[in-house]
Amino acid sequence: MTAQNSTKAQIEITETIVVLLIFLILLSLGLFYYYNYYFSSLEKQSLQLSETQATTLAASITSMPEFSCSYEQNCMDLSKLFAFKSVFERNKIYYSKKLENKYISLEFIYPKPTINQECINFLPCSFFNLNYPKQIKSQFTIDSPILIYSPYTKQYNLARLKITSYT
Amino acid sequence: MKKRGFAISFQWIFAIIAGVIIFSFLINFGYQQIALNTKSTSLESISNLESQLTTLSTSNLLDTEIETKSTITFTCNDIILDKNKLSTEKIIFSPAPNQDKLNIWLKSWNYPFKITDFYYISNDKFYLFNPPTLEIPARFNVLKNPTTFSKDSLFIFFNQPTQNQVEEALKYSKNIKIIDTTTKLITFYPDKTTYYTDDNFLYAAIFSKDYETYICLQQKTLENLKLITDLYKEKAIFLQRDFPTCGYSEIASTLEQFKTNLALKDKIITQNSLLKQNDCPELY
Repeated sequence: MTAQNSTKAQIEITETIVVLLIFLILLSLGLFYYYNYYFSSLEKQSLQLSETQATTLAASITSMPEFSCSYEQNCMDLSKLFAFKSVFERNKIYYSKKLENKYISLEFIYPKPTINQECINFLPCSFFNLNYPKQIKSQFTIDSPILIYSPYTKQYNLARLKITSYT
Repeated sequence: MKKRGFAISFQWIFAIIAGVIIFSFLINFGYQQIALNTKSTSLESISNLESQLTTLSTSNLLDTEIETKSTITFTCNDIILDKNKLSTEKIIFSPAPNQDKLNIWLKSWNYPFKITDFYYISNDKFYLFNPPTLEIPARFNVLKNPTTFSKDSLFIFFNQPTQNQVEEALKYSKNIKIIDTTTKLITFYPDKTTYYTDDNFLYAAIFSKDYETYICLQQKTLENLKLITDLYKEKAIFLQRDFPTCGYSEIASTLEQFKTNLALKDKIITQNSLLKQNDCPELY
């Protein structure tokens, strides 16, 4: 009788543990799927935020004193773009933050460049890399046409501003 | 019988302990989720506000109003909403936490070329005594030489106030500033004094929370000035190569000195005008 009771009690405890284990497994599964959903929605939110930042940056870059033309609005000064290269190198942390850690480049469209080369010190060249953060994963790119004034030729060039966000 | 009783009580103890652990885990999880959601919403709101401020600088709109459901505080380096903060490079002068709405005024700081934009943000009441002609937009709650006051307003005395005036102001606010327009000295009552260089900094003093924030933002602005001056110096060096007869090396040298001696502003203006006279591309 005593041995039978002991076995029954052991079975009951084992039952409780099994029920608890199943409950914990179901709970962990639930949490796993919940976090998966939650993090994907957070990622979506961060993407939207990044998109807003990139659009704002594309709209405001021509009014930044680092690039703006002297008289015209919505235009970038070519000589300032050359000058910015060296100022950027000396103040990389500040400008990476100011330019929202986005990859920013400018490609000349018209007149069509005769040479495919990054603009560092001299013309002719075809593109500027204004900010190049450590790239991990590309999210999206925003393109916008932009006017570039050349004080050398006193003429306007057309360029494509590309802002790429990374995670 | 005794063993059966033991088995039942052990099961109960086991179930209670497991239940308490699971229950406390779920409660903790719930709280963490609420905190995380609040934080992500706050950060999204701050980031959107920062974008709105940036967009203002591109438009011709110099003053505007933004509705807000939360309390937003601006410090020297951060925008704070519900204890969550986002660091900003913007120069924002705001005297107190802002509720319901943000009255915003944007003013570019040119010295002599554009350095940055100053944002003045407040929906507080300003009492100005004997003020000179000021261009503060009408949307701000500014009262000139008032006789009745309300609590937690800002008192700004232009030129020396009487002891009675200061004592009366102290009954309503701790934010009292005395601005001497002749010597260009600002006193953050009672004993902290500094100077202002031009109108932008005069308004900065009016809209500043305290002496420390004013000085911090002034330093931040001067750092911006050094960066932009450096950029114009580099531009002058580039132009010198293509226009060797224009004399860009002189203005480049003045710009190098300008980083530590702001009194050279007029010399830069003269040298820049000279470039135009000589049919050379102006620096700014």
